[in-house]
Amino acid sequence: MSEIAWGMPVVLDLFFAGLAAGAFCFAVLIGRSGQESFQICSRTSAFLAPCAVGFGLSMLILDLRYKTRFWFTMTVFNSDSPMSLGVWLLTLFSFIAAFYAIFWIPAVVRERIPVIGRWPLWSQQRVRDALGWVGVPIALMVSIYTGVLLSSAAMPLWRNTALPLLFCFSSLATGFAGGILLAILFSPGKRQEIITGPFQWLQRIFRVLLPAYLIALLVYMLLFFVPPMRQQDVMPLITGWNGLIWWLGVVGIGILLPLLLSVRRARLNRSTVFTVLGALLVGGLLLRMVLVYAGQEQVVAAVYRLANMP
Amino acid sequence: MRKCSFCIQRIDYGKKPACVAKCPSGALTYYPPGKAPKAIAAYGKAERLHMIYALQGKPAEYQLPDPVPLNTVTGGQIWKWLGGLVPGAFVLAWIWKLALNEEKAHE
Repeated sequence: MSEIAWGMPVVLDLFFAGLAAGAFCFAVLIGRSGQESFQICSRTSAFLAPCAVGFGLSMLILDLRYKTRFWFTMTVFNSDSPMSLGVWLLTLFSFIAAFYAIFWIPAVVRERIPVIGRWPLWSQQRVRDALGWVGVPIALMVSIYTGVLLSSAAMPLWRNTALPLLFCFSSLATGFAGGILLAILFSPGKRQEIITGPFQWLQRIFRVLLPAYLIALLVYMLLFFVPPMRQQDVMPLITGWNGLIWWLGVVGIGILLPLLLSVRRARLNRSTVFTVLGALLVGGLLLRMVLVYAGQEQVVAAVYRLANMP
Repeated sequence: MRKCSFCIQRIDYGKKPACVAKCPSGALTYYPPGKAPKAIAAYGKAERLHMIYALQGKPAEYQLPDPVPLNTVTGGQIWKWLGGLVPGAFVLAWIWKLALNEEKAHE
């Protein structure tokens, strides 16, 4: 390990897999609500999930040295390897998310899909909800897998039991934010209804989810001070330039800013809404970016010292 | 595909392997089996790194992590999964309850 092996493609995969998992959970959880504004959010989230996971998977393939050999991973299943588990989880999840999204396509458009478009299956809401509930545990596992994957590598900064939990909460927050942001952007006529309906409802969730996310983040850092772990391992993350991104970007923009704007009972204008949602998405991306890069930089720096020892 | 034979044809004549003999930066050394100095500790075998480093001293002197027992890396996976799944499921269940309440309030 003498160079940064995991770059931006891996960061984007972690981010978009988490985003897809969160958006899918959001779509299923509010999908049964009869209100139109909730239905719009559920629909855009259901569409977002397969697109995001597809983008994440293509990033994974892009990261490979031999890109045409990606299917080699599909010839084995090794439950000891988080990477193998992840490949199968992501594959299963992307199929479920894609099927679930087809249920949400308006019937007029859906009938134009060749072969499968006219199946009577698609109009049955019960099947859609059942598929959704099968998908929620898998989506949750996809969001956790991104953390398990990192925490299984021999990097001091990643080898942390709380990392999966941290990524799980972050995925839920970014997925909810991404789903509702798309709904607001793509239905200009219903914008005010979405803000007073699902967005305010989501603010109540953020008042609990974001503190939980913050606690998971603190637990992640505090675990480095528990004896088998070493506190100097976390220093490259919380000091220096990485520290600036960590405290200002991840904690400040990603958690505290949306939390403050969700707690404050002020009249919601459009800029507040976009600030909350944008901050959550940016914070989620920065979390993965700073963790992936800082974790590797630490080991690269150690190996560099090793190579240049007197 | 060819595998490294440590240049057995050179070693048999008492020479060093070609890569060691031609190494421009002195990064590679070769000791016949059992002839390596005791002070050099192999770092990287227990850590399952791609390379094994010959350290003169302890890993901590190079600010490297101490050798990690493998079970803390590959074992304990179940706790990572549960540590994410249980709180995650609780949060989702709570959100589901909120969604049901919202629906009732609307009706």
